[in-house]
Amino acid sequence: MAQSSLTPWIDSYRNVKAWCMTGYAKTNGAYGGTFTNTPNQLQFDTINYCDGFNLRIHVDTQLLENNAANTSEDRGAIKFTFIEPMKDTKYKVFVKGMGNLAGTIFHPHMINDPIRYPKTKQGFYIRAMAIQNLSAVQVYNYRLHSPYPNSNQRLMVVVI
Amino acid sequence: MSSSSGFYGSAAQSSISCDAWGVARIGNINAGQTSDNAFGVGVSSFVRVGEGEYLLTLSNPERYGSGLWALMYTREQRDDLTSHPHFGTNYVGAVGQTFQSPWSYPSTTQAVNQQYIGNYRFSSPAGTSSLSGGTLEKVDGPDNDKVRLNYAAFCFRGDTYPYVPVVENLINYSSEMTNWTRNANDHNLSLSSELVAPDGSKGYVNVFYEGESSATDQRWIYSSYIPFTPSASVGTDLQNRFITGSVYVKAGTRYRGRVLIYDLSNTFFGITFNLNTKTVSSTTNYATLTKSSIRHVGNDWYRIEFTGFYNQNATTAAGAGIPHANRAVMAINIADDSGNLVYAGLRKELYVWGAMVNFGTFAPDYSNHNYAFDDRYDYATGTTSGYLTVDGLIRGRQTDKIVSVPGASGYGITGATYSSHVHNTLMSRQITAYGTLVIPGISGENVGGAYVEDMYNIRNYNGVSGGKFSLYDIHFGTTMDNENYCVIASLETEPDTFNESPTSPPQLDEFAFVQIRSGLNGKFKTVNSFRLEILRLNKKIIDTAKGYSVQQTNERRDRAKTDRIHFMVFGGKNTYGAP
Repeated sequence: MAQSSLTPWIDSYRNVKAWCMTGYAKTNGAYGGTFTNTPNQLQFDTINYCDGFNLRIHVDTQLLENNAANTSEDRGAIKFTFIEPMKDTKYKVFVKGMGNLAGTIFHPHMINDPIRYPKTKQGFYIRAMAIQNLSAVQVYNYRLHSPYPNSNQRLMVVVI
Repeated sequence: MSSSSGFYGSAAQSSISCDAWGVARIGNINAGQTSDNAFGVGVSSFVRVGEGEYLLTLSNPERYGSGLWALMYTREQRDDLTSHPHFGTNYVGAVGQTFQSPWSYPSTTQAVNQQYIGNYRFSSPAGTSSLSGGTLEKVDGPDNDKVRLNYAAFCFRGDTYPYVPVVENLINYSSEMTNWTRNANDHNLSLSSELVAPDGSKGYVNVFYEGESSATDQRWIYSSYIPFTPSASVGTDLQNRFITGSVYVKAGTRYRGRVLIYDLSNTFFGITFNLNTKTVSSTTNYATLTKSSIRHVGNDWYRIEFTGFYNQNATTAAGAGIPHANRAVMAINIADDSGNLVYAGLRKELYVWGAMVNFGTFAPDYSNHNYAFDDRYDYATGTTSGYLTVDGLIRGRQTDKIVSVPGASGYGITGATYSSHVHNTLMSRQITAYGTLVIPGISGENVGGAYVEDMYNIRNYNGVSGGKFSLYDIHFGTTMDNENYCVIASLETEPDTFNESPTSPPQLDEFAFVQIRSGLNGKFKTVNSFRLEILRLNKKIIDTAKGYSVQQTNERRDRAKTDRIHFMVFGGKNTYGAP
């Protein structure tokens, strides 16, 4: 499982509780794949952990939840957990996306649902959407995937 | 308009800091307006590089040498328009978004301390006012200083010394030496749960002990190979490359020993030490020791530091006087009371903590590196490996940090400012307020249902009437000294259930845009308060109906969906350290 070190950097005075940076890729391409808007297909494939502190990404859970999403009930989210749990749930998650020059907005946010996506001392969930254009294709872009080949989209997460 | 009570319990956590923050102006070049950085700390420049494209350059590039830093950003809209055509068809609008150059790094156009910023609008197809089928366009700002970008950069690699290159501890399991290799079985290590390490922690002091009445032998442990090979700029040739080793030792029932940088064949440099006399002595073979020292750091702990280099190198296996290519480990011996490395053991012990190896000639403060390198994903090879050699996706290379100095090897950009800020100006990077605005999912017209929680230097909020529960003024606990601050906001929301058919639009307003609505000339972003606005994507934009793509709406609230907006503030103070 991809995860970050427990090691605070030597500039730990910042008191940032956790952070990480991710990348996205589709399985049919190292940096992205052919975009498809078929909703029954797995729309994202992998989210790759680049580096971070005190966070891990549950790739398996993420995939499972997205498969389940095809029942039309839910479309999944990425699960993040802390390596060292928080003492309470008062932490604040700041998440931003990074798109590419091709013109895709990559728009993530944290979701908090007490049943399916609870924010706990152990972790939280993030869901994202990629807006490529405003036609129907957008419907299928709200899940975590990379609509453009070589789009190099990624998440930047800071927890304070 | 109303406010909640009990908002004075701010818990100070002011030591949260970023590396740089600022506010940039996005102008309309067609009207002769420029885009630039309005104010900030640790920022070199913000320039327009194309239609809707801007390049942010941060100062102190040595901070960003790893390429692993995050840019948090929030759009700021400075007008009084009641609707939001900025995002729509007839008006040039913007959604703050960072993006990254597809060009591989290093590049002469994007350095490690730079980030491209995109400015987008939703655009309808030509000849129609419907957004259906429209696209995203990169555009400049709508008018002079109507759109700003608030941003804060977080770099997570060391910058304790702003004037020196970033250095990484190259040893795996630098504190859990129980993962190191022993040369024989008549000695071992265990982690003490009681002994206090030099940094005050417990649990990671290594008790290095010899076997009892064991045979005459040498007792030493060594780390895994120092990983330096993947980066072409670092190379694989150790010859004449300065390597510095350091480790903390404390006398138990043994007080003498040896520490080496060693190729596990016949090439090494290092020191022998005696904690009773507090002395170190050089020991080398086909290598040169250039300096060494031992110093007391408290509680009978001593830090040993030494620097040297191999005299030769080869690409073949080791022969006499020829070290193995690419090989260097740290090796630590116990010695007996006479300093003999080969002796009969008596179950005596020595305490060891905090090993570090780095390239270069100085030993920086210890940084823990108690994990395997293969925790990191390698985009270059598509595998998890020991290194972050990333081309194109993540700029920078983990191992290149040691040479990421301003202006060298593409890390610098001609014309940019690279003057480092003095150390104590880090204070101006401290957070000056933060909190979470909670907008509960309650139907009705009472804006007072919202509240602020878990805040610092935040007094209360005011819901703004007529804003459809989308406008909120956040008041500081202590008045800011000036209006030059940035606000970073991020949404936490109760997810919508996608209970429509897979081919139908989901409830897109789950994906809200949070921005600062500072109003004309920034009148709602003052020393007393700032105004947040939460705008929902209107799913009509993907239907055939007309409609703005982004709007204020109470739909989510009426569906009993709770939104939270986390925010943090940097700047606004003449004197930092206290709100």
